[in-house]
Parts: sequence; structure tokens; C-alpha cells
Amino acid sequence: MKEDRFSHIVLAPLKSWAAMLLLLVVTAIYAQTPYLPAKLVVNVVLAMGQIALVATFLMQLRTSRMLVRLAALAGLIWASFLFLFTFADFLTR
Amino acid sequence: MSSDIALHDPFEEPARQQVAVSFGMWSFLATECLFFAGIFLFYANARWHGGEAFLNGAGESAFWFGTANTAILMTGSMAMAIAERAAKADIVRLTRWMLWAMLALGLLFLAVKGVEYRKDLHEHLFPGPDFKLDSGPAEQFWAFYWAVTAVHAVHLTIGLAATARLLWMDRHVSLHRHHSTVMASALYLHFVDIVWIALYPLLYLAGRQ
Amino acid sequence: MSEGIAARDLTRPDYLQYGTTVRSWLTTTDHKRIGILYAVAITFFFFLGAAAMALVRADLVTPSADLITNDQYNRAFTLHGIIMVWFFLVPSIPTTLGNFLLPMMLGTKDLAFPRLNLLSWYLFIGGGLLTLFALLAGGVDTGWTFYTPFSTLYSNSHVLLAALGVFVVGFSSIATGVNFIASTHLLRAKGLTWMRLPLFVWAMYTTSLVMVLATPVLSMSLLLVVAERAFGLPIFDPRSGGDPLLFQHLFWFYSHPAVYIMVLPAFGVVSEIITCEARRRIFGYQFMVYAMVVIAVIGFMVWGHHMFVSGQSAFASMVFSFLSFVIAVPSAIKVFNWTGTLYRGQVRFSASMLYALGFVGLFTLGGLTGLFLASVPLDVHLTDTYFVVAHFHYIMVGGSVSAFFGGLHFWWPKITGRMYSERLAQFAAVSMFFGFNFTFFPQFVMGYMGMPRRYHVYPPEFQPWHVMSSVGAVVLGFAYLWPIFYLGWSLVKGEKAPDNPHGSTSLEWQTTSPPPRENFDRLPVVDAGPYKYHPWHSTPDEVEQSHRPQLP
Repeated sequence: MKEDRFSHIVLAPLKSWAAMLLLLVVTAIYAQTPYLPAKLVVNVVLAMGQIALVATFLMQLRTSRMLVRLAALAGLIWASFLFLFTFADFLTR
Repeated sequence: MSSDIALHDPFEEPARQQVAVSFGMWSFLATECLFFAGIFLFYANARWHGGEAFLNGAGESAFWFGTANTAILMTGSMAMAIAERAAKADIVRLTRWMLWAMLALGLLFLAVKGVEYRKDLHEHLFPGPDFKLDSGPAEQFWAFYWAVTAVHAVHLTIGLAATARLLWMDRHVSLHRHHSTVMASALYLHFVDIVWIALYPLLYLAGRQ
Repeated sequence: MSEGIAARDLTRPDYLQYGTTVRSWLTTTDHKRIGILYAVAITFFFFLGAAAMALVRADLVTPSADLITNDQYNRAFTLHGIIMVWFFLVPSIPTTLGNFLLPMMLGTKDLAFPRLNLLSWYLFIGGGLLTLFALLAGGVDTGWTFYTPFSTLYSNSHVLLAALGVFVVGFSSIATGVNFIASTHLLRAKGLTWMRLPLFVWAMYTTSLVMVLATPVLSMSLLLVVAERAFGLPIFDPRSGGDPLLFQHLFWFYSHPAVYIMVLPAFGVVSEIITCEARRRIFGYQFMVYAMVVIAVIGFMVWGHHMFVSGQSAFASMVFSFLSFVIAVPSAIKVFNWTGTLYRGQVRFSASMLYALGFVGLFTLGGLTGLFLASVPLDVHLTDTYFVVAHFHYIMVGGSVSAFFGGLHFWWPKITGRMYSERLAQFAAVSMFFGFNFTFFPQFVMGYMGMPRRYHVYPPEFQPWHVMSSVGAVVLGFAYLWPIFYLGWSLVKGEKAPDNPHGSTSLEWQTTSPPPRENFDRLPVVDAGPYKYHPWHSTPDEVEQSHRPQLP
């Protein structure tokens, strides 16, 4: 197939996949290595990085309309309400 | 060309239908986000209050199985992304191979999970009277593990069924004409991957030394 | 004026005549027919839930357990709650009137995902059958709230079946919500901008937002109950460090917004009826819109007011209490605006208008009593008493059910193509208002005096109030049954309805009654906002009466 089509159809997902695998290796090693600080935070942040890659590039949020991005955002924001208010209770008992 | 896209009622233009399918599926994924948020809340609370005992429970999870499965699902996600783009560009063979790859990788994930489940049960990691560790936070970790991985597996199975349906459709119609269906299935499977990516550190990296 | 139908093809079948086999109905993707399928289903569930309540109210006439045992009583009120909330109120207006009217008010042929719409009905039936099965197998006794650890560890009733039934029906809600949201964004007619939409559309939209974002959390909460009960996984069990309050947080995260799912559609119906029957533009359209949006959003931040006495922290209780006061404001704005709409109107006291006006009054009372409950110290006294029961019934029954009946009557000519007897309907509306108040006002009093909810054995001093309430319930029951007769009669012998008997300016009235399969002969183009009953910025002293003459 033509160069630019190959680039868009195969290379772009491939690059995202490579980046995700790299993050996977990093996070796994970080978790297993003793005496490293803030493991939970680092692991979660790296996971968020992988999720961002999937959402932005594989799921094509980058090229989507604002309406579609809003739908994605709404799920996250409302989930945060659940956490925020419930922890307001859990942490102040 | 968008002129040969299969149009469903009540849409009059393919572009609008495409946006609608994309928006509709993302709205559904927003609901899934809230669905899993509920059980993640359980984890967050249990881990916060469970301290060391919770992490001891987490330390019993099968690291290599989990890591392998994460890589498997990520690869499947990539295959699905290629399939969706190929369908849009009307490259029939590539679409078909990538869909088969997704199906195979998804089934491989489930197989690995099955073996892992057997190992976990063998090691008495199911909450109950003969649970390996003390009752309490460790048991709560494993309650989370069994519940969330089962729910995730159900979601993956639904995604694989959607993939199988696409492959069946491919034998009768052009997937390029039904690209929005391919896109919807791809979005769903990407989400299944996202859930697993979020679960991986919670299940397999917690309590590691 | 919007361009509606010029020439109609009078020989084309309407949506009711287009395919008359059972199969054509069960495989339809026509939003209008799906609306009717839902209407039949929810009517069945309504009467089932009402029957459960008839049993309860009959038993409450005496202070001792004369009619049914304690266990049967628990199952009766649980059934009443589960059926009325999930199989009647949540679906009622959105799936019947919403399904039927939304595409028409948007000026389009159908919803965005017609096959998903049909699937949502089958999911509703599936969930309903599971719940019916739970009932026939012996019922559930946990209350509709499924609180843990009773539901997960100690109840000997069919919790799993009931939880699964509600789990399945949740997907029906989500499907409908996604469909409505996508349709409103992407299928509006040419010229129909957001701020030209009828308030009913805004109501369906905001309701759908809430349905979509709240229901999944309920699904997870029930799934976790199933996981603990069926598989012994320690999730809420305190003996393993679990927190029963986690269930309550997850449950109420949905169930509080659920009450907005039940009332926002009513707001939409009432706005449509009041404007048309008073021949007035809505007072403060923009504020009406913002109020509904604010309610939909803040509605997600108040759920802890159900948990003031459960062991929630004082800090969280304060936050939830404050936000519960805040959310009263947009509702109050709407009540003021409906009242303002009536000013200088030419009010026609049709049955629908009577229901709508009844809504405004009863919703106000219910809303005000909600403020009492939002105050933590007052709630400590009033929680789990009949005061709470009266509060939510004023809103859900005095409010939403009144609005549903109002909408049913208002759009009956459009949906069925028949006119019903206005006199008989007015009688039903007035009966409902009186019956409702006789049933539920005594409950405020006895709740304040200390009568607990969900009890059927009580101190004898409460008996007069219970008797009053039960007698009121008989009148209310009549008011619910009576429409079956004259509405049913209208289907057979009612005169054929004209296109626009009420003289409404809304899009759905600019096509035939009943509409053709594709709603419009020509898709409308809109060039102005809704409720064009008089010119802007002018309050005419006299409005030409354009309603049809009333028939006895």
C-alpha cells in the first residue's frame, strides 16, 4: 500500500503499542525493585500514561469532535464525584 | 469514499451517522467508566484502611501471568486499531487478519486467565474458610480480585463476540461499508484494554518487594 | 411559524395502521410504537406495585398484624418500592412520552439508534420478568434499598433474583439515555437551535444525562451484593474489614439522581401543558433550561442526605446537607416561573391542565418538606418516619404521576388519534388530587409524631391517621382506575382527533393525529423558539380562544 496510508494505518498504532509496552516494562521493573519511593503513585501515573495513549491515539480522541471528547470527559468527571464525596466521608470518620 | 457507506435510518448523511456512532459508543463507555469506578472505590477504601495486611494479600497475585496478559491485551488493542483503520481504507485482507489477531489474542488472554485462576484456587486464594491468609484486608483484596477480573472477563468476552460478528459479517458484506460498526467494536475493545491497564498496577504491582 | 405540512397524503397509513401483526409490533423500530409497547408494560407494573400497596394500606388500618405476617409485610413494601421505582417511575415519562415525542419535537424521523431502542424495551421486559420471578418465588424483604449486611448475609429471601432483575433493567435505562442524548445533539431539524428547543426536549435531555451517568453505579452496587451473597466474597462484611456504608454510598450515588430521573421529565411535561393551556409563552425560558441542567448536575452531589444517621462522618453530612439546600433553589425557580407563566393567561381548566396545576402545588409541598429533611438535626428526628415517606410520595406521586397523567391526557389525541371525554377526565384529575392529599398528608403528621416507616404494628394513637390515609388510598385507587374506562372507551368510540385540538405551537402538533410512520410528510424547518402563543414582550389583555369547544 502507499507510504502515507501504511504510516496511518499500521505505523501509528504500532508506535503507540511500542510506547505502551515500554511503559509496561518500566512500571513492572519499578514495582519490583526494592527501596524505590512512592511506588503506588508512580505505577498509577504510568498506567494513566498508557491509558492516555490508548484514548488519544488508538481511540482517536485526538482527531475527534469536541462532542465526542466531552462524552469521554464526562465519564471521568462523574467518576471523580463518586470518589471525592465518598472519601470526604471515609477520611473524616 | 463515504458515498458507499451503509446508511441506517434516520440518518441522511454518512458523516453524521459516523459521528453519532462514535458519540453513542463513547457515551456508553462513559457509563462503563462509572461502572468500574464503583468497584475501584471498593479497592481504594479497602487499601486505604487495610494497610499492610491488604498488601500482603496483594503480594500473592501471579505477577508474570498478569504482566503477560497486559502485553497480550495491548497487542490486541493495536490489532483492533489497525483493523478499524484498514476497514475505513477498504483494505479487506489486512482488516480480516487483524480481526482474527484480536480474536486469537483475546482468547489467549482468557486462557492465561483460566490457568491463573486454577493456580490461585490451588493456592487457597479464594476467600472462605480455607483462605491462605488471615481473614480481613487480605481477604478483601482477593474479593476485589475475583470480582473485578470476572467482570472484566465478561466484558472481554462480549468484545470478542463483537469481533466474531464482524468476521462473520465480512463473509457477506464489505466491512468498509459498515465501517462505523467496526469502529464501535474497536472502541469497546480499547476500553476493555484500558480497564485492564488500570487494574494491572492495582492487582499485580501492589505489595511487591 | 415553522413550516409544517402543506399537503397531506390522506391515503397514507398512519403509524398504527402500518403493519398490524403482532410480529410487526414486536420487531418494530418505530419510536412511536416502542413508546406504546413501553406504555403497556409500565401500566402492568404500575398496577402490580399498586396492588402491593393496597395490601400494605389495608393491613395498616389496624395497629396489629391482622392481615399479613411481619415477613409478608416486609415483602409487600419491598415489592412496592422496587416495582414503582424501577419498573414504573423511572421509565414512565421518558420511555412512553419521551420515546413518542422526542423525535417529533426535534423535527426528525426517528431516534438516532432505532434498533437500540427496541433492544431497550426487551431489556426492560427481561428485567421485569426476573423481578416477577423473584416475586412469584416468594419475594424480597430487604426494602427497595437492599441495605447490607442484611441483604448480603442475613436475608432469607430472593435477593439475588431481584438484584439481577434491577441490574438488567438498568441497561434499558442506559440505552434509552444514550439514544436520547445522541438524538438531541445530532438530529435536530434545520434551524432548531438548542435555545429554541421545547422544555420537554430539555427535560428528556437532562434526564438522559442523569440516567446514563448514575445507573452504572447502581449496577455495580447490585453486582457487589450478588458477589458477596452468591460467592461469599467479603466486600461489605464488617467482619473482614468491609464497610456497609460503602454499599450505601454506591447505592445512593444512583438513587438520589434517580429521583431527578423521575421528576425532570415531569418538569418538561408540565411546561408544555401550562404554556399551551394558558396560551402564554413560558416565563423565563433560559432560567428554566439552566435550572434543569443545574438540578441534573448538583443532583449527583447530594446523596449523603440519605445517610445522616447511618454513621457517615459529620463533615460529609454537612457538605451533603449544604448542597441539598442549594439544589432546592433551581426547583423553586421553576415553580415561580410556572406561576409567572399563568399571569395574564387565558387558562383553560382541561384535565391535563388540572393535573399540571396539581403538580405545581404538590411538588412545592414535597420540595419544601425536603428542605426540612436536608437539615441534619431535623432529619435525625424525621428520618425513617412517615414524614420521609410522605415527602417523597408528594414529589413522586403528587408530582411525577400527576404530570404523567397530565401528559397522557394532553397527548392522547396525538398518540391514538382519538378524543376522550373531557368531563370524565376532569373528574379523574380532581379525584386524584383529593385522594392523594387524603392519603399522604396524614403521613406528614404521623411521621412528625414519630410513626416509623416500614412498620405494620404500631401504637394505637396513630390509628386515626392510618385510617385516614388508607381511605384516601381507596379514592386515589379509583382515580387511577377511572381513566382506564374513559380512555379505553375513547379508543373504541371516541371521535377522531383533529391534527391540533389544543392549538399548540409545538412541532408534534403540526402533523396528523396519529402521525404517519415517518412523523412528517416534509421535515420541518424552524425559525423561532417555542410557545409562540403571543408576540414577544406583549401581554395581550384578550387572547383569542382557539381551543376546541369542550364536549361533555
